[in-house]
Amino acid sequence: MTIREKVGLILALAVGTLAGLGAALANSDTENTMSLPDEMGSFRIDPAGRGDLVPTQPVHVEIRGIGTFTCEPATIQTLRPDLFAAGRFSAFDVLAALGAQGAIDLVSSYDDTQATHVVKTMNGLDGWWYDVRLPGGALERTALRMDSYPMKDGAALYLYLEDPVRLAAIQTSFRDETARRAANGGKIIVPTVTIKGPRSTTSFRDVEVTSHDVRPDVFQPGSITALDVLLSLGEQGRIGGLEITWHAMLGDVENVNHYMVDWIALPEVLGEEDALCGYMDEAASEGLRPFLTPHSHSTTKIHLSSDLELLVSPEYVEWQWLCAAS
Amino acid sequence: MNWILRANLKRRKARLALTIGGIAIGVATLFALLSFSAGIATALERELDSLGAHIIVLPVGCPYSLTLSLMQGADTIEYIDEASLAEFRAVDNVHIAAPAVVGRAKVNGTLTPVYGTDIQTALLKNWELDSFEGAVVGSKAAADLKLSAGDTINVSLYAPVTIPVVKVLPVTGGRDDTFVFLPLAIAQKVLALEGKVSAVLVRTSDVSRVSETRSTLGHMLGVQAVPPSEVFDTLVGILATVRQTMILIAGIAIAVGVFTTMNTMIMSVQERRRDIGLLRAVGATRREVFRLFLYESVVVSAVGGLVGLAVGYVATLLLPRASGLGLEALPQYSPAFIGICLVVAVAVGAIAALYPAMMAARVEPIRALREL
Repeated sequence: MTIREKVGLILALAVGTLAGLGAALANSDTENTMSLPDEMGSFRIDPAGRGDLVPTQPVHVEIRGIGTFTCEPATIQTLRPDLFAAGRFSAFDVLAALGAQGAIDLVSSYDDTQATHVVKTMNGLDGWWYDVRLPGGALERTALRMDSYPMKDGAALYLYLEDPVRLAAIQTSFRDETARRAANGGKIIVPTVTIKGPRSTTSFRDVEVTSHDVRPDVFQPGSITALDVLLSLGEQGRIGGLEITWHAMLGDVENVNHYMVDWIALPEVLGEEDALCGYMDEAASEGLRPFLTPHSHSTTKIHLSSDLELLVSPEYVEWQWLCAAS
Repeated sequence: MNWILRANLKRRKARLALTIGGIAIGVATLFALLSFSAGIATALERELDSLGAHIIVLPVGCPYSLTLSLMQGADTIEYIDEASLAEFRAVDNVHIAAPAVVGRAKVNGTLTPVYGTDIQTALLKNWELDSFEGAVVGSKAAADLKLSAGDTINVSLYAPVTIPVVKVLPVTGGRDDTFVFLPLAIAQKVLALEGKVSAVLVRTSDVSRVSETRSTLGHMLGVQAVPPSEVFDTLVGILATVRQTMILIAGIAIAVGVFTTMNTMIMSVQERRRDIGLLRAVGATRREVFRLFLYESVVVSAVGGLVGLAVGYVATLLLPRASGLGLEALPQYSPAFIGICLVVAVAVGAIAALYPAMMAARVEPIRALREL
């Protein structure tokens, strides 16, 4: 194992909700690479010509101990029209649709303190949590709100009984985020943003994050994603710039349709023109860190990217420079 | 020379105590670091040894996190089709291929790591069982759940089962102590993993051909084959990165000790200029004066080292046992660590004394006596 791999692995051991790196990065689409700020000095991305497919394929759902189901997208209505654009829905929406169809006995409710829908019981059992397998991806232990996790076309949903200690940590993290947002008057102010570059690490305190509507094809206007953290840092003059690439494909996987961060300038460039490397984000609360997924940088699987990861008000956001196995 | 040294040390007791404390902190940090690092490496090695396998066949994914999950009894998310087991067993040089399905289930109402397997694991782990028809309970799990052979337990998560305890294992000191081992089909039913296994532990007939067997197994669809030694090397490598940071911290603490001791000795030389002058006037050579201060500093540092060892030992008893990899690791003590710490302490004293001792040796007796 090379030093780079070891460093990648140790970083990865500390992270949970990692978004978006694949070995297939090698197949980057240079035509869709953009440096920010643009000539006008703006950190806004023109979304024209870029967008993800509206889900049309039946969603495969596996509920451990209960059964395997398929759910037609046409039958799924989002419970979060405040978050999702028309035709889009979350992982929770799929489950709710199955419940409405009578395929499962689902008892759920919206928890204001967590700012999310929660599964109370399913077929009489409590303690459920979920994973999503994106097309070309693998199951991973997500710690994102189920009703804000966007389902891509061809994605599969998996539900299982989570370790009660980890589940409690996730719920505590959600409550902390809601309380932080309320304390900041509804604004998202991230106490610590860290950029772990290939050779150095830089931290920023109390970063106010605003929407740049990077994914109007998926989310409602005004939605704030993890990618907005970097764009906000740029607008505030706290980073010099960044380069992002729109990936329609990664390796052999089609319809990937997400942005990835190639490098960040602080003002010196942290990152380099390396097709196998890029920045991945993690947004969570400190109390959740011990429960986040051990995760290998060398995976060739596709994960949820930062532009599709909605924020409520995380305690920290980290951007890590990781390299996929060549 | 000894009586001069004793007299000097008694002169400024508070300063002496602070100097000893400064050195002790650095040495205590170093001792705790060495003890914990060795303990973690030993715990990892023990856990991997306790698997009893030459090769671990895992689903595709990060082999290190999957192996850790296996050792911890945590759900692995990804699984291998149980039907593949026959194919693994048919591979040349595979002597034992023991399936493992792990997760946490309620045993008599208490969430406990469970490990589903078959009689082949009994062979791997030398359990001396003829058949595997009931629960085999690790020593700690048995103590926590108040179980003994012949009892009946209720195991539930996705589905409930009732099963007799056929054996309580002796203490191993590893994670096996915490598991309730169940027949594979029972564990699969409880964990809702029918037809799936988390891993397959393989022991080869000919150890010299492990590499070749690993290659054959690793090329089978949807799995990867990893020798425990490789997992050990990688995880220890990861810990080494953390350890380097800790060594840096210990190094800073020791450097602080050097400067503290040097400061004390310089002050001591300044205060004792007249004494040095007298010593030189009655015939003490520059070398003897140099030695006197060097000796004093080394003695103080050695005492600081001993105090640091004691503090470090107590710290290792009080600090949490977690290794950061989800494995419980006890600190491991070695005479070599004591030796290293004492050598470092004495070196601190010697290095810190060089400049003050040279200052003392350069004192001109006549000029110093004029100050009387």
